[in-house]
Amino acid sequence: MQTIDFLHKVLNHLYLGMSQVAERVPMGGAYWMEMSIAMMSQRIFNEYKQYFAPASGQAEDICLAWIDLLGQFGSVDNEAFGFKTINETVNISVESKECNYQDYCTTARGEGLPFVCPVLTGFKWITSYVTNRDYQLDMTAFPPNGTCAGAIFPAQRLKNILVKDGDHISIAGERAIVISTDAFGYLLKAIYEYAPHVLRQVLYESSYNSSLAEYDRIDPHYPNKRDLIEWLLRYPALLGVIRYEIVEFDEESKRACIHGYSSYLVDMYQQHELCLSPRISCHSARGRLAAYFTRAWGEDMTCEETRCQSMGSEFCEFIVLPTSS
Amino acid sequence: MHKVGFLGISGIDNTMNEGLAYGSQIMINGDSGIGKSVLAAQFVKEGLDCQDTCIYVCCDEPPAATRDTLRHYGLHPVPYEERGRLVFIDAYSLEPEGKYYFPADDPLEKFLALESRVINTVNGEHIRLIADSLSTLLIGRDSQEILDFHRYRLKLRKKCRILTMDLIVDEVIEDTTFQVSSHLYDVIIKLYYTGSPDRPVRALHVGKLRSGKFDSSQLFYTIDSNIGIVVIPNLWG
Repeated sequence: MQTIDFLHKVLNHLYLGMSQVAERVPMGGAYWMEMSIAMMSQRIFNEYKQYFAPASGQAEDICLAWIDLLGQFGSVDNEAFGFKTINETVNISVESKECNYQDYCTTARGEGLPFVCPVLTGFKWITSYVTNRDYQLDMTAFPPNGTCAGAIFPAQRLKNILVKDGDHISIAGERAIVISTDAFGYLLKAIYEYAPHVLRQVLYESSYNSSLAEYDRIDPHYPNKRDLIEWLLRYPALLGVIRYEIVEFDEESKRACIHGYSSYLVDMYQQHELCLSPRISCHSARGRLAAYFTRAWGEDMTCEETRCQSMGSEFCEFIVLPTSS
Repeated sequence: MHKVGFLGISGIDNTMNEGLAYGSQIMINGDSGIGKSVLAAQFVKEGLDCQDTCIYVCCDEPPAATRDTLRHYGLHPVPYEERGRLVFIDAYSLEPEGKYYFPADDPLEKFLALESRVINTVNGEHIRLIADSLSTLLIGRDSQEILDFHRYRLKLRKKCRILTMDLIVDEVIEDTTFQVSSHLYDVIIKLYYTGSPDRPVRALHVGKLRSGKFDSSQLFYTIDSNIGIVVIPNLWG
């Protein structure tokens, strides 16, 4: 094996390693991969910007100039790329066999690791950077098709519900903090000791109200309600709060059934003795679901937890239905 | 370790250190409008939270009104009814719509048979049975019939380890019959008004006839529009 081939292998394994780490990092996933690639692109640009000469400020010309810059050092074959602009969207295709990251792409997606295409993310970054406008990337085809394809276009969706920027973490644009379950448990314990009758209500309503606000911030970016709810239900899992799975989503009859796994409140109720006898405990999850579906379906919805892992069930079961039904 | 049950009202539950064994019988006694049905709704909510199956006998209003009460205090009954964990017996309506109903004029043995049939039909290891208000079913009946019914019914429920709650409106049953019937229960919770006539205050006390393990001192309470009965701690310092 030649040195260049070996280095090529190392590069792909490096990306795979990053993906493995990203998967394990709380609040991690594809977002961190994207950040890493963007920062790497920024460094390359800073060092070689004298070779960057776009014909115009149009997104396609910026992409062409970027590929020219990379091509000057033989790291990519310019001929393998195709660009086509429709309105503000630049459709990009790459011959898979010419892609340096083919091993990473195939292996990461095969192993279910977070995958972010370094090539197309580079285009997205340079276009956002030069135009000073946030662009979004959607992948549409992958290596087995012989051609990789994707599109970059001015951002419509929030790129990630959970982001860290400087000293702040935010969830859907709202500043968030991370506290240990111990710290939160003692807060709940204090509420329980002074006013045990309000604990259920406090957990439900606080979550209900904050979830309404979250929904309202994200709503304009998603025309499809189910996509929006799936997006919103993904982040509690990243935070280690609870993992949701939509089992039934019937917009016509306004009924939903959601399963929940590993809810933090199950542990919290047991560890901090927040009840006199074992019981269902995921009131925050109920409040969150009631709020999201109230907004999505335009009617006051409620949520009941009919099964709970705290009672030995395999999963928590949440039924969402109209309050007036 | 056997599961024990609570009422779902922290100020009262805290007085029952060890909780209530399934098979215990609770009498809730008080004036009309004092909060007995609210307490019963909280008992149901607590039961469903603890994965019990609840059977609710509606004698003073139709099941639809009880559903509204449950909804009002933060529990939507429909998912539980669909899963067979909340079952209503309609002993009120002239034209009942539900699966189980009891014409109020029928003999009490028929009621007993219906109640037993429902208990045998429902799923669940732990069952709560609520009769709201049992006293309505007993109006106009002979004292001996009432006592025989009470004795036999409560023995049956104890044997099946059903946690039973009977609501009895004050002065509906004749005094002697009431006194004798009271002795059949493990726990009696008496709800009443106290304070001055201008500023009445709701109060209750918990009495356990047999072991005396309960703190039977007077507890003051209010009815919160979202939560239900809330016992006020240390009202007089």
